[in-house]
Amino acid sequence: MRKYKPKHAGRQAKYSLWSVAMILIGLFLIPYSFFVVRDAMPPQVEPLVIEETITPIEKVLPAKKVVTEPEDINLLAERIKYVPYPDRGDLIGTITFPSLDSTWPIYQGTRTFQLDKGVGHHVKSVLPGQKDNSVLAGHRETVFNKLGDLELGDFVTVSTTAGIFDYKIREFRVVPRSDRTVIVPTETAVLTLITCYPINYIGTTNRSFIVVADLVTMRAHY
Amino acid sequence: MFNKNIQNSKSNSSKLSFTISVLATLIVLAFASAAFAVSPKPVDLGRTSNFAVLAGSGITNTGATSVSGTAGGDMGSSPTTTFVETGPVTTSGTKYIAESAVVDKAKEDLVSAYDDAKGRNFDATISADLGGKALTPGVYKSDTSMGLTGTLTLDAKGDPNAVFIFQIGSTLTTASASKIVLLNGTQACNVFWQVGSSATFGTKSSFVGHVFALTSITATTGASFNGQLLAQNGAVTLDTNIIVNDLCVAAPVETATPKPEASPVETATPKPEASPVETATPTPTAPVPAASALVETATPEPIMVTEVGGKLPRTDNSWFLPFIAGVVLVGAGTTYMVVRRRRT
Repeated sequence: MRKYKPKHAGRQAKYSLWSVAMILIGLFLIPYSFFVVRDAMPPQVEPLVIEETITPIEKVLPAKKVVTEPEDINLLAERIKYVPYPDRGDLIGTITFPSLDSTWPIYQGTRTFQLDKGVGHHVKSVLPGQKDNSVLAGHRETVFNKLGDLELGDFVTVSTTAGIFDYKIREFRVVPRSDRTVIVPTETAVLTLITCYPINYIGTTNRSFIVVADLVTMRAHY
Repeated sequence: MFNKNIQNSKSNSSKLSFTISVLATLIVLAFASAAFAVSPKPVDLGRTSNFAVLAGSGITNTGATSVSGTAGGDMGSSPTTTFVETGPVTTSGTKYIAESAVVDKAKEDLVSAYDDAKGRNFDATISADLGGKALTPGVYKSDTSMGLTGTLTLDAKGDPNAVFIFQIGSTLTTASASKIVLLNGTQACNVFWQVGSSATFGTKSSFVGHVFALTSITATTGASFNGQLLAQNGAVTLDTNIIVNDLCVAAPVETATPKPEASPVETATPKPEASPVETATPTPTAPVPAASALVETATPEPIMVTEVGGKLPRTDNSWFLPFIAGVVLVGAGTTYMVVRRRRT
């Protein structure tokens, strides 16, 4: 007796296997993406207390002094030094957004390794508090996810081993990723924050959100 | 027959589906466990943190010993408060030479710290001698004794908070001129040694970390420390030592190539401990530079002017790519399955 073989039985089984495999791989990738986010979400930290991290230069220099005069600020910013100078991956200090009630660690470098741990300092820019343009970058999904909530005139405080530096936000910009006018030298002590734009957008973008702030006060050893 | 073939086909299909689902589950579980794996947390030092030297049955010092550090240079012993100074001990902290509640409380916390370090789940067992080894952060255990001849390298892999914990069943003994090299952000404040009995440090050896010894600690002539010497029940014996008990710092130090004096030749031919030359060598008035010789900094060139026209860094996280791919695959798979079932 001739066996009857269903015409599409094997193909159906193969197709159902493919669909099951697709579902399983998909179910694997969805939680995986949350792990990626979780790994890139550094914990908030307390602002760095410079008295607890005395560097050798601070031991020999005079006591702290609060300086608020604008003309003095940039003169003094020229004297801010980091000893020892941080290497890539080193913790530099913390950045605090009082209006957002958040504080994040700052690491030297803007590669994935540093940005996954906190805010990254662009290694080819001066360090926070120093005269010139200090550039910090962060993920829009994590440390800089509320950068769009800042307003002109808001303060940003950077605490490092060299001192505590308060910046006042002067400008917001949205630029293409290819823009070469953001990371440039400045005549005064400026802090530039960079993240992707739009901030609340799922997918790759080719634009960046820029926050520019001027140094207004400092408490440093000099 | 048709039904039987269909059943066989379905049966094979379900078996394969089951196999795939089991494999996928295992992959997900493996990934999840890897994602949640964390490096050990530092041992809570509690009120011992201010103490560079803490003992149970007294402190004895010979020669000129210097104690300092940003965490504190306190020295004390409890319940036996004996403090014998044959040679001078200069410290930036307090020398507790009588019974004190401060020392008693520090001793209580030392017991907790010891138990904490001892109770950690270990990542690897380690052989008797640490010389020549390069270790990454984790908890290392030796059921018996542990020694150090030559150089031990601790590599934090760029993580300034990386923690190293050593669980030693009995004694810890270091050879003369042995040393510990800290690499890639390793900080002395994050190195912990739980010693099941006593610790003995060789002449002119350089040691790093918080030492919790159940019994006694003996530092022979010229040994230097970046950390704490904490003996729970026994005595701490010092001889012309330099002890620096520092807090963790924001900018961790990195080390370069080990110094040539740590060569195995010297290790094989230890100098006499009571040599008068060695006794005269330490300079207690300048303890920090001497102790910082434990770690040789490799400071990069400072940037004095921001570059012109720098390329903007990439600040987007790639989490959404696997997320979207996952959603698309689940949707497509489900749709296809529904469509096929409707057709059949």
